[in-house]
Amino acid sequence: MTTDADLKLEAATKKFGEVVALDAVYLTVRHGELLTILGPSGSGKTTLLRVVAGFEEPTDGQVFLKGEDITYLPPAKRDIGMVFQNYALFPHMTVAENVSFPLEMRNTPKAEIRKRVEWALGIVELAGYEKRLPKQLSGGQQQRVALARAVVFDPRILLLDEPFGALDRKLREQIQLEVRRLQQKLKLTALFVTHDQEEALIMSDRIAVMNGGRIEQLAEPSEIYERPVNRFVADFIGVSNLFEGRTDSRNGDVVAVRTTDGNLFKVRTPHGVGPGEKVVLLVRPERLHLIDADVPAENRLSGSVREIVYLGESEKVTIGLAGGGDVLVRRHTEAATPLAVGDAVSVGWRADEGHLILDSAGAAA
Amino acid sequence: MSAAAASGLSGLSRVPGIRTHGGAVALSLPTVVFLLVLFAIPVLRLMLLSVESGSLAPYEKAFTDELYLGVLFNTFKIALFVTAVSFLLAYPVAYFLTVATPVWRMIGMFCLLMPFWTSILVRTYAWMVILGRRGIVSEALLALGITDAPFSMLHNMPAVMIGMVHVLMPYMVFPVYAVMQRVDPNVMQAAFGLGAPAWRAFFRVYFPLTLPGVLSGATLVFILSMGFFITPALLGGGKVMMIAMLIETYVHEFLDWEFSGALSVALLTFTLVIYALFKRIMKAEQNWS
Repeated sequence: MTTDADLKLEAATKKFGEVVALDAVYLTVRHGELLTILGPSGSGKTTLLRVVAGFEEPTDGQVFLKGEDITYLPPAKRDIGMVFQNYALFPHMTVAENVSFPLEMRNTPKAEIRKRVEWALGIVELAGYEKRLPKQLSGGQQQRVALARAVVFDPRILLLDEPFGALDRKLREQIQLEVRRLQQKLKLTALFVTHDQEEALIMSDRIAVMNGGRIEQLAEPSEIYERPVNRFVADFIGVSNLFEGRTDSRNGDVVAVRTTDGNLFKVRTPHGVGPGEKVVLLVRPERLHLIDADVPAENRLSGSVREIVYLGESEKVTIGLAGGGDVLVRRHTEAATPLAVGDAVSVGWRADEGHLILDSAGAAA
Repeated sequence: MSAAAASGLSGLSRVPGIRTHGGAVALSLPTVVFLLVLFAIPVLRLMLLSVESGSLAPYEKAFTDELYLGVLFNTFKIALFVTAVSFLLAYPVAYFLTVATPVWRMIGMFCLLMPFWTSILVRTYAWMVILGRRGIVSEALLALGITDAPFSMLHNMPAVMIGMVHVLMPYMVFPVYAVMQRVDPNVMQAAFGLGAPAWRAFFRVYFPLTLPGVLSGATLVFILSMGFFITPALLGGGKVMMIAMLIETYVHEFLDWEFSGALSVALLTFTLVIYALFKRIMKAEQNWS
């Protein structure tokens, strides 16, 4: 992957009356990368996409596509391929006509159109469906037509607006991977918008987590999951056990945290935090281990099993803590000692399995 | 009827498919009886009148005499023009209603529906007031010095068409509006996003998507135009002849029921043929929805 910026937003701002949908956002999408904008509804992610597509004019700031300022360029002149939430296929046109449309609008010669359409339908595995109408296709097939239509004219960037929402779970997973493979094969730069964190983790090169019109964190999926910069990101991505408290003593890069309910936990952190600072300690459920009461551990909590949710290859165990509150443990079911609700258990984790979030960073969330 | 209603109701709790069917038959029965007695039977009676004498002479007269063929052709021409003009005027209005804010939509709807509260007769007389020799248009142009003598714009083809379009345009607006409302705005954005300038997006996507509404509106306006009577009679002043006026003349002035019957059959047949044609186009056009 090269690091050329294909798409660049500089201080892009969009206000609807008093509401700030996009708050001076800076974002760079590199050539050939799939960058996901992830956020809850109302976070500004759709507005961001619409500003890039040209359906919305920013109140302030600029948008650059391959170095060209496209801030005020009409959508038709941007050369952007877009896949819409409900596909937005032209219902009165056949599959072939739908896919030809962008080429037709560019006055591409007929023979060239035929070749390109054949190629595009080939890569989405819909050869032979040329004469069908959208209503004669399944949801997954319509999705693929929309994708073929968006890539057939070799767009400068591909935009995907929650394109998998209408598909059932199994099909969705399959198409997610297909889209990802296609994007990598064609070396397309893609901007993908979703509220589904799992989808974001599966598909992205990088993820930008949005909230309140701002990007909270922009990083690779593993970084976002393992080392969220603030409480909002930690909460939004995956399931978290969060302990609020203040920093206590420090030993090298291991900091002791005194939680509000009186526990002392050790956590390894690169942050240079002094003592007495407000922090949140994050421990992912799969980092918590059920341990025997006499085994020593860097961090330990005890309580009793309150609920067990069986998920096939793993199970989620909610443990009611002796000191109040509860924690969630996720463990593989094979070779696990059987548990029953009410069993007294201990959980432990190492100092490097926790992650320290400075509370000031999450103040906005 | 009560038995049918009872079986319809008893089915209500069990078979969902049957219950609506039986119930619908029972509920539509009064209307069916009403139409049968007051519409279908009189029309049939009129049609039979034309052949009661045992000869097809009235039909021969209707379909060979150039005078009557001319009137039929004239009627067809007027209907076609009125439909075309109604479409040109109604399409932007329907679009306005589709994109307008709720308040403007309400105002627009009110303006469209208001004429329905006034009798056609009154509205036609209103046009006579506007277009006549002492009418508003003539007086205004006189006052402005554009003309130096009062003139009448009545008793010609344009006057008839103006009056008819005025009455019939709402019948075009509503079906088109109904279809426009269902056009997915995302589809239009997709067209723009994929490189279509506004006019190409309109002709390649928006217009085809609203065509079913245009066709059903056109069917309504055309068929209503074919049978129009009061407006052409008053605004045409006898100089513009449509088939309904011809039928009226033969009933009232010549008491020739046989020939009136034959003309009615001709009108009905012609209208049905046009209707079937429209239906066919619509079916071909709508296979995607």
